[in-house]
Amino acid sequence: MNSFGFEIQKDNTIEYDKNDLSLAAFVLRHEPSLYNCIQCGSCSGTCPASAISSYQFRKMQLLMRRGETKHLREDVAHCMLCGKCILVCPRGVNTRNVIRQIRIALNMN
Amino acid sequence: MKFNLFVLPFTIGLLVLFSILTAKYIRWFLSLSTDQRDAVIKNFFTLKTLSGLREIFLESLLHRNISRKNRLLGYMHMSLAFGWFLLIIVGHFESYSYFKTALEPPYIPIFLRYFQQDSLADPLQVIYWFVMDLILLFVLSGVALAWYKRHNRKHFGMKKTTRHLPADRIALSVLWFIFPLRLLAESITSAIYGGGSFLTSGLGSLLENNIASDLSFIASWWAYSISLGLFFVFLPFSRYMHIPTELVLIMLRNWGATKYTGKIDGITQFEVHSCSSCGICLDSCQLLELGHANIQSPYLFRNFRGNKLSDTVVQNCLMCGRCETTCVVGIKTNSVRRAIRQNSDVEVNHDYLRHVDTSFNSSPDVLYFAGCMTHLTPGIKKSMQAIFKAAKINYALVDEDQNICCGRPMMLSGLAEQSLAMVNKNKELFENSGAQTLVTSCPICYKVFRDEYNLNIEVLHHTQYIDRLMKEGKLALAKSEEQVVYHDPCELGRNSGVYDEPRRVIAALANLSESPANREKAWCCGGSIANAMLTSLEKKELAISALGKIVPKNTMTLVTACPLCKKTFASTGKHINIVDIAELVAVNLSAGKDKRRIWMFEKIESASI
Repeated sequence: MNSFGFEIQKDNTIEYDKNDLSLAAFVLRHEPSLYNCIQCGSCSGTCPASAISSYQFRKMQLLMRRGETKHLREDVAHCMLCGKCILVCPRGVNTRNVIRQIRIALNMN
Repeated sequence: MKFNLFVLPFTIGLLVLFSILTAKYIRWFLSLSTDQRDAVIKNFFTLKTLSGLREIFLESLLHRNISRKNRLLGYMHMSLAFGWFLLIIVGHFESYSYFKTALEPPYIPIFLRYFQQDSLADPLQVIYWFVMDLILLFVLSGVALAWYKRHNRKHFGMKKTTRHLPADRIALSVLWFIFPLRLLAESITSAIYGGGSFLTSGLGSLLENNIASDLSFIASWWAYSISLGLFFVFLPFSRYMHIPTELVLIMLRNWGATKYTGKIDGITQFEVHSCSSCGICLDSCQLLELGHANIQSPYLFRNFRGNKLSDTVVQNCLMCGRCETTCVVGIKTNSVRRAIRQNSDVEVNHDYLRHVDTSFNSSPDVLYFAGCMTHLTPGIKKSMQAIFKAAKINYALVDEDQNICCGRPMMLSGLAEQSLAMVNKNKELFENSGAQTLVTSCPICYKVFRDEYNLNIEVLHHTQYIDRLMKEGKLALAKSEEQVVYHDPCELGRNSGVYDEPRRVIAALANLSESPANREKAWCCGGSIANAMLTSLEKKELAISALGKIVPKNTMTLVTACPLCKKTFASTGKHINIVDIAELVAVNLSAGKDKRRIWMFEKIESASI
């Protein structure tokens, strides 16, 4: 079939009522500083992995907190743990531990 | 045959001890890596074995390292270890002088006064009695001190001590009983049969009328034997496992077989079991300031031995290495923790690194790798670029737009295998450049490039590089009268051994004062990337506390050599000028003719960001 360069976008609706928020609850319980996040994106702005890949910490944690965990496992695998994001975070979010807790929650640890 | 039923607890205990030790040691030896085993085989019949034995004598018996920390503590350990050793050795000689055979069962020299009750008309026996009493007194003085230490550890130079497990407590109590019971048994024997010297005969004459009887005589020998037997049985399951294991560790170290392999191996086992939980390292741990009192190395090792590791005890550590420098056994606490943290199950996907271009347009002589943290302290990067320019060096900034992490943060987090993609990409980058020297501003990167990358290129931290440029006369600098203090970053100082170059550079530019805790005793700023568990407030608290201890009253400027230390100290909001050595040099360079006034406050600030 010819490809016209168009595709039908998937439905982007987030079903809060239906989504499983247990993973987010686990991560937030073990790293409550994530509650302080104001979604400023400084972390993703400084992230060396974000500069060369589609990975973004801000996006990942936002989706996670909405229960959209489908791509979480592949997303979190991108992190290099360098720790730049912690240093730039204006809200003192312990981003490296958020990564660690996501990995624990996904049984990757 | 000289035998009495009471020797059974001792003999059985000894047999149990030896079988358990043999089984464990064989297992650990088999899990040594090929390199480690080859090192043992290669160096076994060399002088290294002798130097190992010498070290065993000095450390395991005389406890020289502990004496250096505190004389009293050293004496206590020496009297127990060396005294007990002498009791056994002299006991064997004494036994030989009576029975003229070296092939006695092992219990004979231990219970010699029971098996040789009668006085012989032999002056040698009197001498032996005197010597044995003297040694026993020596050991008992150690027991008394150990008892006293339980309640007054401050006199032994220790603020904190480890909290022990039940098995440790039982073994400890039994150990305290062994020598007083020996004294009692020998004194009662002396009261009934005569003999003994000042101690046993003296106490014997006191016991003669009321306590000494046939019943108390045999009961005291039974009690002595049971206490020995119990101690031997508890030894492999308690912290006293360090007594035999440290001997093996010292030998392995002298044979050069203790190289870190990146995973839990036989060496890790020997190191972990050599920890006596003495607690000397506890006072050095900065996390105690925050109330984290169950994660220090002795607790990590103990939980590892008991297979009870929790996430917190493994992860909540700065890996600053302060405990390693205070450990009297010389256990590589950081390597052991790294091996324990190692986790192959974590999935990591760094395929996107293939997009990074590793080709070079120019052919630089020197590569400058700023490092992740340096990109967040651009003042350091700019300063280094100014220095390269001033010294007319043909250099290239490797990680200008796209920087790949050096991999050490992941290695320290237990993901060493997973960091290989990054390591290889960086190596490719360095090797494609054709440069001879790699300079980095981050001590974390420096450590891993130097020690784990196996590069064919010379690796220097920028303090070392600046020192070299100054020696070669490539930088025109002048000294000011400003008073500064230097902070040794953990990764550069303790963990990499670079102490003198930064000091030489600073001393050429300013008046350098030393903080009381410098070099290997330096404090950690608290920002360590090895700890993912501390909250930002806890890190800040550590940084404030460290700053207060480092900076003398008359000093307004703290010079460091690590972007992470700089960033962490800056976050405290204290009115102290925190600068990197590179900035210090760069501002001096740019000060023009008037170099004496140079890099005052504002200039540093404007150069920083």
